[in-house]
Amino acid sequence: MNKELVGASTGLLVLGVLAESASYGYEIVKRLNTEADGIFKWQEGTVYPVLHKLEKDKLVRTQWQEADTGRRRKYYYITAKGRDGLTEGAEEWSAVHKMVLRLAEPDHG
Amino acid sequence: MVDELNPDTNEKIQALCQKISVAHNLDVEIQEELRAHMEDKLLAYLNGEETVGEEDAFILVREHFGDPSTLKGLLQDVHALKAQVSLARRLAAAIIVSSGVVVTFFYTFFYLNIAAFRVWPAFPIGSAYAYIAALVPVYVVLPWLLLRHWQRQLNAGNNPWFLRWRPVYLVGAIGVLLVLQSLQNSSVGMLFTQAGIHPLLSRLFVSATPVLQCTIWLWWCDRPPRKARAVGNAAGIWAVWAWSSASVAMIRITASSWNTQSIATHLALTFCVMVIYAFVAYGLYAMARRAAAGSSRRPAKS
Repeated sequence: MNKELVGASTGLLVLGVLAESASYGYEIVKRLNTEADGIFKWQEGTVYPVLHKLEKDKLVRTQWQEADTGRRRKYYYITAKGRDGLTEGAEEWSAVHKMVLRLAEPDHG
Repeated sequence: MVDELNPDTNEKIQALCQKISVAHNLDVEIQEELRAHMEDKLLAYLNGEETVGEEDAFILVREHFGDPSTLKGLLQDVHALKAQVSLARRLAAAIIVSSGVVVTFFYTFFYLNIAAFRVWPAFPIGSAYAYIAALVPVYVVLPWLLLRHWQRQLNAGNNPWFLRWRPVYLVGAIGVLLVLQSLQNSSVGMLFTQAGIHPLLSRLFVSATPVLQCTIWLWWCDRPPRKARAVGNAAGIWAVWAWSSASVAMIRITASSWNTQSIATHLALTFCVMVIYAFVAYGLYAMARRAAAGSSRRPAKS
């Protein structure tokens, strides 16, 4: 799959994962790769720049939590602004998606 | 279920995080976050929660196999006998030895002449006889002995200098030697005239020497994997080398007042002569090889 297309949608996909439940880096990547079902494989490290950008833009907030094993993990929670952003972004993608399908139809024009 | 990593692995993860942090000037919190992720991933692998795909399996194989360049060097050390020496390096060695021997001979010969003249003022400086007598050993025998010596080194599994030198050094050495050789080169034919040798004999001598020298180059370059094209290329390179090393002398001679030919004509004719020498050498070498192959196929007498 086109890397640029995936790169442009990663922020939105991460917000989508966090909209279901708060999560931490490893789990987010795992979830994304499961959802992608082999279409694309996210590199472990590349999700962090996206997460940190979302945090900077206040679309997510973070909190360190201790697991049962005693290890600390940084959990990401979607904010209200993040949920609005996710809705807006999904609508935009949907509009672009429809437009692409319409233009790509063989009998178009 | 594994839920703790051993201290060695923890240290390695920490080092990797620090490497990323230093490279990107990240703060301690981010470093900690990356470390936690790596730990999670590692434990997931150990506990079988993460499966290894083909791509990941390849990464493991590559890592376990070791650094390719190191491995290449180690294998070459062990299998030097089987390692192919590129035609380019063989040709570089042939050029350096041929030009080197001629240049060394000329300057040694020159200073020996001067020394002999100082001791014995009647000594004929630049004795044509002495020069001609030294031509065959210098142009043919000495390069052949040296190339044969290095071939034996290769066969014994050693790496002679022309395999160890960087390409830039080989090219540099060739350049310097070609300049030196061009500066000293003179017309051997003129020496024969000085010595009063019969023109037919002098022509035969002047032609046989380069043909023999080219044949040695072909023998040197005709190595596994044997390809007729490689030998042809070697003959072509020899013609260019022989022409370029003689060209400055040719220009000097052409520029003489007694010569009526233009420099371009003289250079073109010289090149044609070198190509003919190369063709003759190629033909002789091919015949010799066929003869050798034929004799080796004959059953041994009981």
